[in-house]
Amino acid sequence: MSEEGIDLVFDSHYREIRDKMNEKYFDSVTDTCIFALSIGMRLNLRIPKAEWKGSSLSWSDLERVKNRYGGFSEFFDYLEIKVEGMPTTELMAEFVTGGLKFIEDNYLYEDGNLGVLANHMSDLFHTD
Amino acid sequence: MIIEKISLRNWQGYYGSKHEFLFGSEKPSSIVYGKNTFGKTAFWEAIEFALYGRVRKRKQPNKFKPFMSNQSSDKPLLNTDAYNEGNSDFAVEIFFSHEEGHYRLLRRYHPKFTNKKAEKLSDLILQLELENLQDDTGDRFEKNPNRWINENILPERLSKFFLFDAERLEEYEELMDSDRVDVRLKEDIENIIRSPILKNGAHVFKNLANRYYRDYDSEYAQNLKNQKERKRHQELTEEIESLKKARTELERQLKSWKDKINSKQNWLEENDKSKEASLQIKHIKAELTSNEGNISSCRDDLKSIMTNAWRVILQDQVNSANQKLEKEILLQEKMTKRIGVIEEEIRDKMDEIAGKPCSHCGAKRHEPDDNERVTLRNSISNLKEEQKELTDKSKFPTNDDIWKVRNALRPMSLPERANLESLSNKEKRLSGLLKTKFDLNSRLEDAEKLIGEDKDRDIQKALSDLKSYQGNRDELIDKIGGMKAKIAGKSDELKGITLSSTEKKSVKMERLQFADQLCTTLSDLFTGTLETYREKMRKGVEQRASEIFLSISNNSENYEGLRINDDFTVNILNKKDYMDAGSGAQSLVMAYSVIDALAQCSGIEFPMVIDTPGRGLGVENLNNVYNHFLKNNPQVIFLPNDLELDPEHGDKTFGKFVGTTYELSKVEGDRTKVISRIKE
Repeated sequence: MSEEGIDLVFDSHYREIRDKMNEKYFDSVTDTCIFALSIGMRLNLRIPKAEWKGSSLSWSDLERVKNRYGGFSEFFDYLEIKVEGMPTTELMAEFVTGGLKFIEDNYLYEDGNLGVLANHMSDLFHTD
Repeated sequence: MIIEKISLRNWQGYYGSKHEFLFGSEKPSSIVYGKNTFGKTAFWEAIEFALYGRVRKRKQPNKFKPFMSNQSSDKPLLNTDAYNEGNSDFAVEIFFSHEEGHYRLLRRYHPKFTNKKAEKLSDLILQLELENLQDDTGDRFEKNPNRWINENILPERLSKFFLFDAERLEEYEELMDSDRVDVRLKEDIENIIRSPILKNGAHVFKNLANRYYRDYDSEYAQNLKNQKERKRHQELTEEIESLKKARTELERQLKSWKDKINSKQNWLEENDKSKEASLQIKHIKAELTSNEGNISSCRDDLKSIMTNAWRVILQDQVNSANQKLEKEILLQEKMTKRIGVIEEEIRDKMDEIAGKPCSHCGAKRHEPDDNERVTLRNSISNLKEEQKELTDKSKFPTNDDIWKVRNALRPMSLPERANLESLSNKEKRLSGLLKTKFDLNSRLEDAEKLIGEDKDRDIQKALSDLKSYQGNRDELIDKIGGMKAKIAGKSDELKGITLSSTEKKSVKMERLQFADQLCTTLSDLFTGTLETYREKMRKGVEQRASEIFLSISNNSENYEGLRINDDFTVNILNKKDYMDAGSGAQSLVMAYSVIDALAQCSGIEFPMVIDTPGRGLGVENLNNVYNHFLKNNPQVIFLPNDLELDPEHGDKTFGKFVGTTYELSKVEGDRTKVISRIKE
């Protein structure tokens, strides 16, 4: 099943958080959501769609992301991050939403709070 | 003074020592009846003697009765019988109360020598005792009784107003005739109303004022010896005074300019703060601009880091995916290589079965036997199976797969391992920059508060004003300096003139001038007070005397009263509004009136002792006199003769007013006997 051209979405409840984060640190909402996706994936923060507080809000589509950021479908396949019967896009949506929740919980959109990341990914904040 | 008891010894007609007159404590007034020559006047004179030590002669008030019979032909004070018997001891003793005290006064003369008859006054010794009967301190006797009596009881000169003898009426008749006013009597009246205190005061101070004025004049003349010096002194004093006033005015103006200058300087100091603030704002704004640039740059850096942060975050997972792919590719290459080796081994084994030379070295090989051929064929079979298995396995990943995966992971991959330490550092720097920005904004706000509108224009005006004010101030300082020099010069000149005289005189002259002014003021005060006081007393005596006169006179319906003139001469005012001197009887009534009024107005407490009260008075007038005096005076002792008041009638009519009455009679020739009639 080809996934190209399929919309990438997240829980619209975190729209405001995404916009704040985007305004402060990024040039596009896609960059913002890719950052949220990376946090969700790294910290395995996945919010199942069933638990979303809002509707699905599109932030890009898989083909555009593949062209600019890489093939997350292959990446997921290769890392064997798979849930039986769940398309990669949906899995990505749940990771993005999980990442946005982390941003909200830790007020990363406010000046001076990015250091919180060090508490969760300490290996990335030290030079060996 | 209230007389309580009188004792007489060998006193005139009173022979011996048992003659006593007691006076009631509740009603101290009394009547002593007696025919002429029976001893009434002697009784009256006993009081005068006890108090003053001598007895005035009737008709000759400036002469005194002799003590003993050989001194003159007049009746002596010492009883003649006693004298003739050689007893020259005579005495009068009075017990009296005065101002809540009780006293005993003894005036006694007795012979100096026991072996010699006293024939003249120098042969007698005076025993004078004034004893305070209530004094328990042991010092009961007054050291100087005469002075004490004059000062505390009644001066002798004024006794005529209390010890009254109608037979001596001529002593008072001057009162009726303004042409014959006896200076001494007038003085006595002045004394009794106590105006001399004020008069003397005025006189003393007037004399003192004159003396101080003369001294001042003398001092003044001595100190300022010539008119030229005085004039120059005056000129210099005035010039210095004028200069000082002008200087004071200039100093006032100077102070005003200094105040203005201070005010401007204060304002400019505040304005300097504004200027400083303005510079600060400029500096802060520059810092803010720089700070904003740094923040912006820092934010850009952060954005840049954040844009790629996802790759760093996922780098381990991406690397893991890449490594997995590389492992698969390596395994595939190994399998392909093995497949080639297996193909060569199969070919070699088949050449061996066929007996062909070694394809690598060309060496001949021996012909395999059957067993060997079976083994070789089994080995070839196994190799082919392995080859087939490897060939199946090595089909994946296909080149297409590898390409896809590589393409998928390439954008995610980082050339080498990265971290987010720069993110942390940048954010710390951003926080610092933001804090700096906040601080700068606070400082900017504070500085901006200090600056108002149009400050520069105001500062320029203030500076211009200040310069103008300072110019005015300097000009004034110069002027004042010049004026001070002038004053100093004139002061030096003045000192040269006055140093030897004026300075020395100043204190003394000021004292003399002050003393002169003070004494003049006091003299004027006493004089003014004297006139007021004297007139008040004159009116008081006039009113009181008029009342008494109308009360005593039996013809009061024809009279308005008495007029007492400024010189204390007296006229009777009748209702036809003319004045007359009155008859002899009226003169006596008038004398009673004036004397009683004077006695009452004087405030002196002394008994009225009236001898032969009715000379020339009719019965009605006389009764009025008795009634008036007995009713209105604290103590009156009447000494009437048998024609003036019959003892029986007297006791019956006036007994209610008196505590005691006495009747004098004669025994054994010329000796007086005292008979007590009404006893307390």
